Amino acid sequence: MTSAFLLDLLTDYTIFTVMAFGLHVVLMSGQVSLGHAALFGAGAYASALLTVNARLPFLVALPLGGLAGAALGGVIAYLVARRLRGMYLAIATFALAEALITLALNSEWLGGAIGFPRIPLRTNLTVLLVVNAVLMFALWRIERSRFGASFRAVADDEVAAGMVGINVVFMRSLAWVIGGFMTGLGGALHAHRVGVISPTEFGFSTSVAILLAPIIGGARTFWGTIVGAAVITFLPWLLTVTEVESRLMLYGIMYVLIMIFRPNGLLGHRPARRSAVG
Amino acid sequence: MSQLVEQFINGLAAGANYAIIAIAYNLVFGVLNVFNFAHGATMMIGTYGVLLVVQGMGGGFTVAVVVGLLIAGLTGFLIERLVVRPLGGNQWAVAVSTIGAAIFIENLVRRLTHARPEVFPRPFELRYLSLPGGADVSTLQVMLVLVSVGLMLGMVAFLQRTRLGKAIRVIAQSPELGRCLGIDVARVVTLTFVVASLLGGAAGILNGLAYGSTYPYIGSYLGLKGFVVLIVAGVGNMRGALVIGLALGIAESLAVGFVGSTYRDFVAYGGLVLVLLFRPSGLFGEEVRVV
Repeated sequence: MTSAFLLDLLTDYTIFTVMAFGLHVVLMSGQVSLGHAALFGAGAYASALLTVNARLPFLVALPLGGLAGAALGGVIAYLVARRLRGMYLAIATFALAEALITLALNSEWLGGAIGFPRIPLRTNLTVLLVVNAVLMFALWRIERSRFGASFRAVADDEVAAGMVGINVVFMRSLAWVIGGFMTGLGGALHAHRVGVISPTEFGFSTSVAILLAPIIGGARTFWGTIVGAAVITFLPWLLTVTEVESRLMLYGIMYVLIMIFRPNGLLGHRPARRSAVG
Repeated sequence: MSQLVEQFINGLAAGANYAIIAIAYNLVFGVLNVFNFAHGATMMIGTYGVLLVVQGMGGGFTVAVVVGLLIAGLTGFLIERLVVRPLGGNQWAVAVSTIGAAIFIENLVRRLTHARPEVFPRPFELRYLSLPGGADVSTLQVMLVLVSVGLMLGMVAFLQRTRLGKAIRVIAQSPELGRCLGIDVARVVTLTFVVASLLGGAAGILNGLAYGSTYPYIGSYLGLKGFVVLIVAGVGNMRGALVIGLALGIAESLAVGFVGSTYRDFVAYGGLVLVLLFRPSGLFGEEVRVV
């Protein structure tokens, strides 16, 4: 347990929370995404292109990466989230993400399957902590605002929400744009941490990992995401399992056990009527 | 022209396999209203059952297939008992816990096999038949098409004629009705998982034969294609799954032959997005359940 190792783990964790916060907003509005890694990838590629090809400074490219995520979130909202619900929406977002990955794999501009190299390494813990603090403050404000109440109303009952004058389609779309911005930020931070990105790392398994954080922690408040992301990042190391396959096997068992004993997540209430993603 | 025919036959075999995968999802969804995300892992483990017998024990191919299917069926049984049943039909909880089971199984196999892709055994020497028009078709391809189509038809007969098949259809309509008729619903649900997993094992083995290799993630790859077929056809629609499965296999094969192999997956996922845009309930999405 060296301090370099702890710093590494903390960096992993704080990038993970940023991208998972983006999914939290989508879940808050009662929608589920199995393609969130595509938003993560949009932010990563946008920021990489802007710093490497357009030579913009990192601190300018970072929010623009978030905007790229927000734009893709808007596209997802317009294409699929307007008409589909529940498991159908989840599977449609997954398909959209996979289609985008295939396009990226075939794009020479983005480096194809070999990846996009030489991204300047600018992400450090200070930036990450600032971004996390800003997002947590934003989420805290959103949850207490009219927007938060509207998101929850849409999640609980769309018809009733429409009856009291909430524009359901607008709120559902807004959740994707805000969530896309946050997850896109996470992607930009990731790109400037690893230096090389390739399309396959933004695939189904990453989307599942993003989705599991709020489900494990409990999706009702953003604290659930913070706890869930911590469980996913730290638990395997606490159990001193370092071999990657064993660690993933442990994840698998953990997901099953949490769903059996706490179907609403670790922070969620016990009642069996609603699941974590409502 | 000859390339067109060859790609078409490749696509037919792959497509029949996609249809079988989608049918397995449909069976489980019919009785329990949940999606089994661990179905892919079941397919994969069937192929490793075959490898275990052929490479590990030097056994014959027929015995290996039987063992592979048994392991797949057992895996399905365990998934239902340990991972699905405790959750009482909560769709999202089942999605997460079956994803957990899939991650577990895949990484168990990766650990045991050092994550290398493995050569999949061939049951017989390949011979090539020349069709009129200059196309060459291997005996293996002919066998794959025949077996897959046979499995599809066998599945339809199973649902129409056997007691278990009829019970599955009743429960798909209404579990309460099943209970009134004296059907042991819990038992039928378990058996449905086993039947679906046997089908999955067969699909995995057919895919292994078609490509001559297998690897730990083959199941999730195929499983996602099966999902595409399921959603495009409309959940619960058996005939739709047959048609869309075949169409997807053929379209992918033609894309590989005439556009480029890297665009193969785009056919499925891009196509799914298009269908969802215009027909959110699937191309064949009537309200009637065929299962």
